Amino acid sequence: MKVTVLKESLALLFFILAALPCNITGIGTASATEESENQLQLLNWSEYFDPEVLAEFKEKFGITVTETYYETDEIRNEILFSTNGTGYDLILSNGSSIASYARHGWLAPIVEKDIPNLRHVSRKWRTSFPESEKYGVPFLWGTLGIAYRTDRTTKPVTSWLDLFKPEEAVQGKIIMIKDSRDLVGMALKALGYSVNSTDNRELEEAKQLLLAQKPAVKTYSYVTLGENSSMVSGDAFMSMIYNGDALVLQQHDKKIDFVLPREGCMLWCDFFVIPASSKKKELACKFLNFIHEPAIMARLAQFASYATTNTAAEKLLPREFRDDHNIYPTKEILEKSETYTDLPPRVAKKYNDIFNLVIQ
Amino acid sequence: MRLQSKIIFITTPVVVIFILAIGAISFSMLQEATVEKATGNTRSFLNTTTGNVQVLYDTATKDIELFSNSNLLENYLLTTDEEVRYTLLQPTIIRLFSSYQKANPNYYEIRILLPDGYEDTRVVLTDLPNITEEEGETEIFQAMRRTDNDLFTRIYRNPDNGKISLLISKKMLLRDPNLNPISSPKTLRGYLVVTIDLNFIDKKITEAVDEYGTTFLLLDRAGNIFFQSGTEPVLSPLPGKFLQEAMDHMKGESTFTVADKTHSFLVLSSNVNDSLLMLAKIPKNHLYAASYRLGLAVTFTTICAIVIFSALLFYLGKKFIVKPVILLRNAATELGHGNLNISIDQSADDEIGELARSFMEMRNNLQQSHEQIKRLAYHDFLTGLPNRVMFLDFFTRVVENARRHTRSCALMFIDLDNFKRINDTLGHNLGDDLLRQLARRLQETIRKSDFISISSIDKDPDMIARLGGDEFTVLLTSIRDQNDAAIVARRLLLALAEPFMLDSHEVFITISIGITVFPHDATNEEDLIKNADIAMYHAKEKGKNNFQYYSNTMNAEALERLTLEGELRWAVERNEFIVHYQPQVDAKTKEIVGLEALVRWIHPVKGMIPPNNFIPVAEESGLIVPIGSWVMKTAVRQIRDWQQQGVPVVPISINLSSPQFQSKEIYNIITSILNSTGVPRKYLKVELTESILLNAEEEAINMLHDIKKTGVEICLDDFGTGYSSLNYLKRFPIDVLKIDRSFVMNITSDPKDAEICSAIIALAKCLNLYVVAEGVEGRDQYEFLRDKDCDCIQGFYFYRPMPAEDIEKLLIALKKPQKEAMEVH
Repeated sequence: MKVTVLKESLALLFFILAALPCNITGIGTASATEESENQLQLLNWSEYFDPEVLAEFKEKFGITVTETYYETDEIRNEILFSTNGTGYDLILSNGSSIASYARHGWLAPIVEKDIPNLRHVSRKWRTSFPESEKYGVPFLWGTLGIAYRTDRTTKPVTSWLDLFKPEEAVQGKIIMIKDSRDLVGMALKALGYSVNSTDNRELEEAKQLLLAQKPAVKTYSYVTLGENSSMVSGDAFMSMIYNGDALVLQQHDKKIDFVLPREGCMLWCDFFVIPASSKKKELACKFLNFIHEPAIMARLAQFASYATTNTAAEKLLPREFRDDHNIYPTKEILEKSETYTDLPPRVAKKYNDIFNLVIQ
Repeated sequence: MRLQSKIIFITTPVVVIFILAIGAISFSMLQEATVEKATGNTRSFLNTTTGNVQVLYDTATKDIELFSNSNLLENYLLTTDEEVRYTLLQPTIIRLFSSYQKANPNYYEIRILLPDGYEDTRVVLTDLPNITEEEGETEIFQAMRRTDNDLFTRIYRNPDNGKISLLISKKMLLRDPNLNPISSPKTLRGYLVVTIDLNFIDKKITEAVDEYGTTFLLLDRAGNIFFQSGTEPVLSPLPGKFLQEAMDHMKGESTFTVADKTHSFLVLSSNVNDSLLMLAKIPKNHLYAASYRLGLAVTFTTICAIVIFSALLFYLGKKFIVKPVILLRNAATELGHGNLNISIDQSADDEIGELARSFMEMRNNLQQSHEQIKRLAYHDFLTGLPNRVMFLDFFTRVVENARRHTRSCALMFIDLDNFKRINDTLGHNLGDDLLRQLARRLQETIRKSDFISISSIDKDPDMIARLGGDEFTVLLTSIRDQNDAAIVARRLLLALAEPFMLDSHEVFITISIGITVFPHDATNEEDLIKNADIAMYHAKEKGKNNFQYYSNTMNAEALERLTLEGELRWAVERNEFIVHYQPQVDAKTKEIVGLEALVRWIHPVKGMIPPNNFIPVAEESGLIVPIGSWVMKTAVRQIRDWQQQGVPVVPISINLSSPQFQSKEIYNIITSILNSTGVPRKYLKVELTESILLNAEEEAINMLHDIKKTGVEICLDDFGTGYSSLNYLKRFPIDVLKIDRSFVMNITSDPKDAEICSAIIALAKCLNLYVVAEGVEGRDQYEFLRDKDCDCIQGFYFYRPMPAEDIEKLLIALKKPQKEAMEVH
């Protein structure tokens, strides 16, 4: 998964526009209807999808895929929330959000026969989240770990606590992801609790850990990935990061190392979902079937440096790709790792409260 | 009451009341200004703060309206599925609320409460602990739910942080989107609750300090105090009585007074809104403290002004009213006591000035009357002479003066001889006329006789008075000796030699005079008067037309002098006088250089009478004038004879007496004798005494200069005995100075006299005067004088006065050597 982080101000601007009643909905609807029949609106992370694949798809089927990007899961939620789930033909969603979207009635069920290549997709990943099998088509999966500058720390990073209770050398040089589940969840993990904890006491501990860490944090955002990344320039020494992104950074600076902490980590999987409001479900299925062609999927995985859910495509990947434990974690780590599960509403609210408090 | 007191009594209350009024008015105005300033500042603070709170309310109200209109919020609240809400939607809402907080950090808590009071969403700026998520049972939620309005505001103490905060909430009434958007009813989906930090208002109020110790309060109508300035503890809620009073006065802005047990306060109130108000409690004692200080200053100024004005009024009153009145009063008192010489200032042009002028006019009239009365009282109506009263008065004073100055004075009683007969024959009218004429003649005679005692400068004038009837008195206030009185008496008798003309009748009258002399006869006035009277009767007894002394010896002397005078007249007529000459010799050569002519009386019976015995009588009687002229003629002729006979002549000095000198004929006599005889001027010298010069008038002095001009030398005789004023030597054309014999006499025995002689000689030498010493009787005297450079010696040591024949022989003999001359002597 590739993520381009927009500046917060842009996000806010977007948010405010979204908050304006009706307008965005109107525009979105209008733009969708005005576009040609052979166009698909995709809500997606930025720099996550190989553009050449989109070009091939257009060449092959005459269908243009237009991408709209979101910065975080929550922004995606807001976008959808503001349009009541309308305006898109395809949405790339994290697994844990699918059930909520479905409950909201925003999603259309996946019909297997419309996407024959689903047969290549691992059953394990298809059923990994509630309602994911019914409404989602798995794409890539990955982990959340720590990237750090080996030349700036006194000892190798091995634990989440190295991030949450950082040594003196990295004070003020830490970048934390601005996401409630990621922040609270990894804090819980660092404390040895489940990332899906509903225990008030554990949550309180996590909150305190986060607040205690706060002075050492340079910013709550997602680290940039290019040559100009703060990790490369030395403005940041340590960051929460999705494994694939760490690999991108390593290409720029070998001094950056990625680690999956010994407490285990969070396993995630992205799914494509089709909004119930979409008028081009057929085309969407065509697109989903295309990307799950093993050869295509292998290219997409390598483009983003993440593991794929498509077992057939996996076989086409180069050996060193498949043996990279940063992409395919060891069994030991995987056993300690968890995926996000749906939280009871009022616990979710608690996560929200903690997150809000921390990022202020 | 005195005038001064009255003025003070009248003016002081006026001044005091006036100044007190000014003081009171200025005090009240200043106090008002102070209070106004204080209340003005307080009021403006109150209004500003009230405005702030109102703006806060307004802003909060508008903001909550704006927030509640959010589509996101509506969608969120319409989402009933909790999982969707909290998992999917809530972060969005949280971000929304956070953005509000970023825009306005005072909104430190933004919440969504569900209709049952569950705290659905809570966004706080800091890690504010949350007491409970279940707000359903809290008082504030109950109040929120009960209110009929959508909006609910309340200032309360937030239990989460214990801070006084403004809570504003709005009921979120929404239509179910699945139902008909027009007809379906709105249902309550929850409450949007914003809790607002009142820090800045808290700060503004609690830190408000002014000089009066004002307490500022923000409170609600239940009396709950939210913010309060100062440290003074105030009960919260405010006591009902106080609050009630505050409420009673609540009409927007108001000012009123409340008092608790100990203090009184000026309270300013300001309405924030329906539930809130602001009060400012100004302690009156502090508020008025400044004006009390002011009052003190005003009081001080007032008192000063009163004192100054009173003093000024007192001074002016005293100067312009009381003092002139007192002066007038004193003058009137003086006048009442008979002092008519008083004078008072009449320059003032007010009533007092008029009074003063009237007073002076009265004084002048009084003075005139007084003088008239005095004249009537002290003068004789008939003759105008002083009467008995005045005479007695004056006499007492004269005797007193004479006693003090050890002088003599004489009193004469004059009585008309046979006046009754005249009265009877001529009638009273002519009798009175006679008395008037007599009085006038007596007066003139007395005035002419004045010269007798003229030497006394400080003497009282002589007086003639009429005691009554034909009785007169003459008072000679200062006489040298008793004889003076005789002289005057004689003149008075002589003055009646001329007849009086009474209505064409020639009437001859005579008087009888009695004289008494103080202190010889008596030393008090009564005895003197009695003596004079007695003496006057003596005169009557002696046949009238004469005078009598009270003392017999005096009578004898007077008789003798009278006899002598009579004989002297005869002597002049019969030429019983001869002239002797006393030579004067040059002190060095002993040659005879001059002669002094000395008169001698050869009495047919008594033989030669020495000059001392008859010269004074001759002077008094005026016989000295013919005698002097005779001496002069005789002496000049003698020179002429000697010249014709070839006898060597020397100058002759001739004495001039005072009457001669004053007769003014002397110049003519001198020139005519010299001219008729042809004797050169240089052979004649005249001698004058100091006393003559003393009384010399200007005319006499001029004559002296004239004599001098003829070439006749002038000698000053008896120098040193009189006043010996050096001024004479300057004023008069003196050629020769004669040292008096009294100095020469003791020149060898008394060093002082010797010194005086030496000094006189030295002085004369300096002034180029020729010095003659007379009375030289011994060799020692001569040698001393000679040694002292005296020019000329006269005296028995060389020559006695000698008849002309002897002198002639002597002068002839002198032609021979000096040695022989000495042998002749």
